[in-house]
Amino acid sequence: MSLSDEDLVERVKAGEAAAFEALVIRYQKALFNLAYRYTGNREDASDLAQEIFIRAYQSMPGFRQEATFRTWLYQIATNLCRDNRRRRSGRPSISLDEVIATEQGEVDRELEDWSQSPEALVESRLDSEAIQKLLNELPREYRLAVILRDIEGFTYDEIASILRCSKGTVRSRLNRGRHLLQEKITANRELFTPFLRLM
Amino acid sequence: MATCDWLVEDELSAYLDRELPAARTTEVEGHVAACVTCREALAGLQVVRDMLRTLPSVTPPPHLVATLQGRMSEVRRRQRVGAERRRVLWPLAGAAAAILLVVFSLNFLGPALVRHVAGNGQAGVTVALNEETRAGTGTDSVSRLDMDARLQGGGRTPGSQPPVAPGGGAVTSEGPGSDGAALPGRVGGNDKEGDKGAGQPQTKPTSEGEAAISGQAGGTPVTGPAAKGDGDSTGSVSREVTAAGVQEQRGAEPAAPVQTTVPVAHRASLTLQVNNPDVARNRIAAAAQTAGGRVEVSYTAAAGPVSVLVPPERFTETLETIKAVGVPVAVTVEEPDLSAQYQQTLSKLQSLEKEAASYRQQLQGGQGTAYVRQLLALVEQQKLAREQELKNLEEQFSWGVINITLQGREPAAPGR
Repeated sequence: MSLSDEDLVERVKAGEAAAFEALVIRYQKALFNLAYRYTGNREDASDLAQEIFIRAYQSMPGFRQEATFRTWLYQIATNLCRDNRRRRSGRPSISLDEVIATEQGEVDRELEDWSQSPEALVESRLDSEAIQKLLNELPREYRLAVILRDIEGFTYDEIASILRCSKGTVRSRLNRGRHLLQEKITANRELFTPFLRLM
Repeated sequence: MATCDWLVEDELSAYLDRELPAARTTEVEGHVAACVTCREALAGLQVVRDMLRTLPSVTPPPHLVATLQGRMSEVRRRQRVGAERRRVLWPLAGAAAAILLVVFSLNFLGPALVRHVAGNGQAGVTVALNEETRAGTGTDSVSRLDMDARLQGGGRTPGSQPPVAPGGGAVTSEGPGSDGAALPGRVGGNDKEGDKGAGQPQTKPTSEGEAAISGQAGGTPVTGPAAKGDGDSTGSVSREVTAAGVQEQRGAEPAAPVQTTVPVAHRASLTLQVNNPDVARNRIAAAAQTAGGRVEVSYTAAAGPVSVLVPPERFTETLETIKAVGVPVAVTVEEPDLSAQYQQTLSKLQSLEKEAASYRQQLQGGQGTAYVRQLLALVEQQKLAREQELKNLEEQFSWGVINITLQGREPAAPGR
């Protein structure tokens, strides 16, 4: 039987480094996903995920278990996501951002290639990349709310705890984030494969 | 997407998430069924949500955990180095403050302030100023220095050494207290213990052998029973917890016990009702010094908290002496036995040492693989964690702690 988060936290506080590694293994996928969906690329996501765990390890002595460990970890994660954006604001983006950054000419040529892909898997991947690209264009607070709700599946109450705001604010940010994303999808329908264009 | 005026702007999104109250959910449900605009808006939101939900889960890079392990080892190493630096630098800062205070006292305040000078190697910095001094020239500066000196000695963990003058001497200056209970002042240094840089209550047994065994460079004192050398993760350490206490041996050192203390923590807290908090504070400090301990925190403000650290063997008698200073109320005493916890941690550490030694042997014999090296690194990390745990426990039983809250029963004398 695996130990609960709380048990592992107690062990970490008692100086057992291996217990923290167990927490890392438990949460690495979820936090890497959050970081990836927030930053939009694997390199930054990997750096960010590491920072999250290091910060959590350093802050562990001050963790009073007033919230669950999961909520506390996501609080650290979302704080670092905000800082990450400030830190990397001058850094050029890579991958998909480079292709779509100029909306004239080059984008059309790329899109033509995408739509001609015969593999459904590839189409799906391309649609994912297009959604990711538009997600990254959302203001950060809307983006965090949307990621936490629609990708990570947190409840409004949990999101309010993580983002340290009221439930009403969560509701408002989610609504605005979704509407903004919907407008972007409509305005960039050509980014998507025929299957999603019909949606 | 626009909704009709019937709905509040974000209600449709919350309805989609089933986050509306039950009654409102029913109302919205009925409305959406009848309103084309809201139905279309809801469908649009559903598309966005479904697109986000279908995003594939991304797999973290395989090296993430291994990279993190390396970085966490570095974090732990820095924490250890930082703690060690603080342990070394705090006494130096305390010593510097003490020197400044002596120089200042001798040069500017004159002999009226320093009543008594004697060197007996006692640690601790205590400055008690009476109203005569405070009313005189430079009152503000003296008060500030007084507070600085007290704060230098405060807020540190039990088991760490108090701020001392070079050579372990202590400085105490005082004027004639109005109640006649002020402490004798001292300026001391260059005594035998001081030369070792001790600055530690002298009831703790110390010896040259102990210094060698502890592995503490530069005469840094052993801060508690079974204190061990930091940074030595490869040497073999053996300790014993007996009815008499904890004994430590390292390598081929003689089997004679280095230090012996029963691994029981001693903590007390009490409120003392006193006529004059200043006098009471001085008497408490005197009791602490007599027992070979010190006052850890003592603010000049009336009824401020006082924390006294005393050697465990003098805990009970010192507590009684302190209780006699005033009328004790709400006295609580805790003396948890830490032997089982200590022994358990020690056993784990010893077992890890054996495991590490076996891996090292394999590597030295040329049989080591990358896997064995990884195992050794993991075991070394676990060893460090256990050592820290052991150190934390040792700090708990190295000193008895008595926390006193003073309650004045009458106003302080005019001029205070």
